[in-house]
Amino acid sequence: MVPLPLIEFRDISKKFGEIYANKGICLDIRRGEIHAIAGENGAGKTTLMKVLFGRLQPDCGSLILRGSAVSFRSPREAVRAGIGMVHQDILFFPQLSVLENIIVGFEPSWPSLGGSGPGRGFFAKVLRTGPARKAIGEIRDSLGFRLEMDRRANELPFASRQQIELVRMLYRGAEILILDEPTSLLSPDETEKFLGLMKSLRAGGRTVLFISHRLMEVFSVADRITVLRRGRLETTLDAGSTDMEEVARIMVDGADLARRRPDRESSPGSLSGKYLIDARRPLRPSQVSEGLVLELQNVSSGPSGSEPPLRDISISIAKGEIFGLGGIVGNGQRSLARILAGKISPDSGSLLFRGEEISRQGIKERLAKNIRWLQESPLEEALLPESSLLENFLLGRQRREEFARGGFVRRQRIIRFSEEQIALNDIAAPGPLAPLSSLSGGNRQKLALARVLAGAPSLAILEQPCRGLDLRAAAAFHGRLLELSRKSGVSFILISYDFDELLSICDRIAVIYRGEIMGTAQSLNLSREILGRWAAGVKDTHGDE
Amino acid sequence: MEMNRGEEKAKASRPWRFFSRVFQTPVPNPLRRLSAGFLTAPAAGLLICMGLALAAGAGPIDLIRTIWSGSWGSAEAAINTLTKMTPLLCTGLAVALAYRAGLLNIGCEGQLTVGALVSACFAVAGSRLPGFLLLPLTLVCGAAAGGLWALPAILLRQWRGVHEVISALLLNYMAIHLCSYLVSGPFGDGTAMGRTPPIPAWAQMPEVWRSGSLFFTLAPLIALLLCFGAWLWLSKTLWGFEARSAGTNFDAAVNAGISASRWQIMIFLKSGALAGLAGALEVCAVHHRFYRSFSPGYGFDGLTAAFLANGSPQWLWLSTAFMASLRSADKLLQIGLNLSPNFILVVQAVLLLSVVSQGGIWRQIDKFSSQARRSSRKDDSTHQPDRAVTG
Repeated sequence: MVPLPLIEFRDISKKFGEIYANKGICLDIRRGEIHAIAGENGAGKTTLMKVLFGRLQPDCGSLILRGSAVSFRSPREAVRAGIGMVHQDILFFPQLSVLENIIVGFEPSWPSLGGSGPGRGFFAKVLRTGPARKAIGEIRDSLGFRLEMDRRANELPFASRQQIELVRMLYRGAEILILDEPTSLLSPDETEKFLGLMKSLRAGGRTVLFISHRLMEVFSVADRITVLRRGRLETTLDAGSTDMEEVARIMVDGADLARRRPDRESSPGSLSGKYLIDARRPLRPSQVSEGLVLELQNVSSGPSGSEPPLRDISISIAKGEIFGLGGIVGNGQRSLARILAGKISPDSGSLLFRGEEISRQGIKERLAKNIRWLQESPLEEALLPESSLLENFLLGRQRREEFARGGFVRRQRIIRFSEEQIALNDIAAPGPLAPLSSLSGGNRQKLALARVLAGAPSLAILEQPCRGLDLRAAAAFHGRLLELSRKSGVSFILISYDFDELLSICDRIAVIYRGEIMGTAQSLNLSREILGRWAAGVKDTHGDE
Repeated sequence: MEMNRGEEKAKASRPWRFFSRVFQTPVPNPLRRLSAGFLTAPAAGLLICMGLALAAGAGPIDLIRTIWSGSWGSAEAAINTLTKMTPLLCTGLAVALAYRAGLLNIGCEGQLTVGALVSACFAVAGSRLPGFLLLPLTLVCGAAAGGLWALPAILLRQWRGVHEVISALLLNYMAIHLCSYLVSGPFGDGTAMGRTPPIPAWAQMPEVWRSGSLFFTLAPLIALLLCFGAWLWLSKTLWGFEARSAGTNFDAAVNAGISASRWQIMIFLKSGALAGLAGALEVCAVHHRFYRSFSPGYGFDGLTAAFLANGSPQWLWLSTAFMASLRSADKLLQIGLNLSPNFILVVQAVLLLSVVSQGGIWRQIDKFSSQARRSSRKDDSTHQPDRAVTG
């Protein structure tokens, strides 16, 4: 007998403007399972989960929780019903401590004196953190996190923010956890740990809804997999009775088309193989002789945020080279990217761009040299969330002759430019005048990337460029990267926590550990194992430079 | 499915299309949207006021008729309303401009007072200058003084992280009391009235139109022109775009190579200058001198006007006209309907609150116009998602 489902989505639809983000979704979630929601960017995964969490109200359809119909008007009501969500773009209070971030909205108070019920009485509005600290400490230890509760939240790296959010949800007694692309900013090691954590949550009797487009991760933990495509539910499969190939095919082509082509063996090259690029090749001598684009000599800086100080960083990047920078989160990548982009200047050492010293030049001067930078979280650092796509495309280009004449913005030109970029980068958007907030997370990332790559920069610093991109978009981006570097001679510094990505696309790779470069080598001579050793702080003789 | 809807819309006849666009609803059910839409709150406010009038012994219809005839019903009333609009336009613009750059200029009252005093003193002291020079210089002096008065607030924010609301608010009191001292002593006209000597006739704002004792000056036109210019600057130029970017996402602006703090300083100074200009215009066009407690709260009203217009200079004329109408109707309400001045204040407050509580009626107007723009490009937009996924 099939047990009563814990959650039922019945014919849920949600429209944004003219586009259906979700259409007629019917889905059962069983108690105590890890249920993966897979799909490409903009397939409607996040929208569906936001409907469950009360962040969005469905246009039609109903939600059944534990056998009775519910409709959450706000996340607060969903939390009360035992649902917790860890968002893709984590919202937190940067100025509050870790502890305060966890208890906010659920503040414990002293027992009431002279009043009845919680929240009433004389001391009821006075914060009482003692027991909360203890309870949170227990949750934290059971998950194996190392969170200092009195640190300010904005000093912490991304992975820790995510941990805060998770602890917060468990502290509020969430039995159903929605995790929206939780691994997108984690290093391979952290991802491994996180997947283990999900299994232990399941063992503890919790139900986990896991949104991801990384099929490797989905298959290593999920019991069942639901595939969304263009806002519709394609199918729900048992993880044991399917394989990555089939799910990938359904994600891209839909269930009908995938079923119609069952002769997988005869099709030339499997789908996941199609999206796997191996572009590694040795650096041509001509590339080096064409001159170095960027040279860092003994660059050092003080600590910033939670990152350690940089010590004597020396790297050089040739024209048309894709240079990878790997390492575990929070080892100085962020500081280095900021130094390269001109946001902060190093304490010592020199930065040579085509032989010219630029370490004292600001972002503006470097932009004028066509050095562009993709920030780790574009929504906070690079985009105008409330403005139109048009203005987002304009930002950073507004001083160019082609987009402004006599001080006036050339609207038609920027509209044409936006339309071109939207088409070229496959951004699912109603048009250049739509607000940025109407785009899904993956499409916002595509936009931020498009802005950096448009018009061939001379050097691009990319922090986590594939964050939130699905298989196809990531492959398209990698293809674009290769084309730009080979044909237009664009140099790239690719900062990623994903060694496989670095190994498949970069010409050379360096690994940073506690603010120091542990080794640099041509990627042909490298393997995951060597990179992993470097990332863990083990120096060996593999470095060939 | 989406495309069907699009085609349906395109097939609908023109007036209905306009109707459905304006009321954001498919044609069959327009009234539901209208009632839930943008007229509810003002209508409710009006109903409350009519009820209040009934309770105070005046006819509800009379109330509305009197407000209209007291504000726009005659040439005299209209000129009076326009005169009251002028300083509100300037201070409203000052607030709106700063708001778009991510700042709150709550110090307009002080900047206006300082601007008025300095311009009055300059006009009196420079009476030897010819008219074509004296008037513009007087206005410039007032604006400069207002800008200077705003300078400490923004510098404190940039250097020491002091919130501009606090410092500007404190600067208001300093300005009001300082000017009231100066005008009773050093810059007074020798009487105990607390006022400067009158400015010379050639420093007064030229009249645009006169009929008998009725006239109106260039001042409202200057203010309207400034609003138009500000709209043009903010929405069409790259400088306006940079300033707005600094206001929406400071970090993103800095990362795009924009000197965001410099823009904020400059915009705040301009905002102060506009408030100072409001004072100078009052001196040159209305009172022809400065006196103690010069402004009846124009600086603070500018705040209301700006937020009523949702920070958009292009809608300031509407919000200030609304506020000025209520203000200039009060005498007629008092005389014609025999209502107490306090009652009039209540009516004004209820009507204002009802419009404000709508949560930005002007935002909706903006939405209409952007939707109109979008639907003129509808063909691209409806096909976009399909292309994006299959392409």
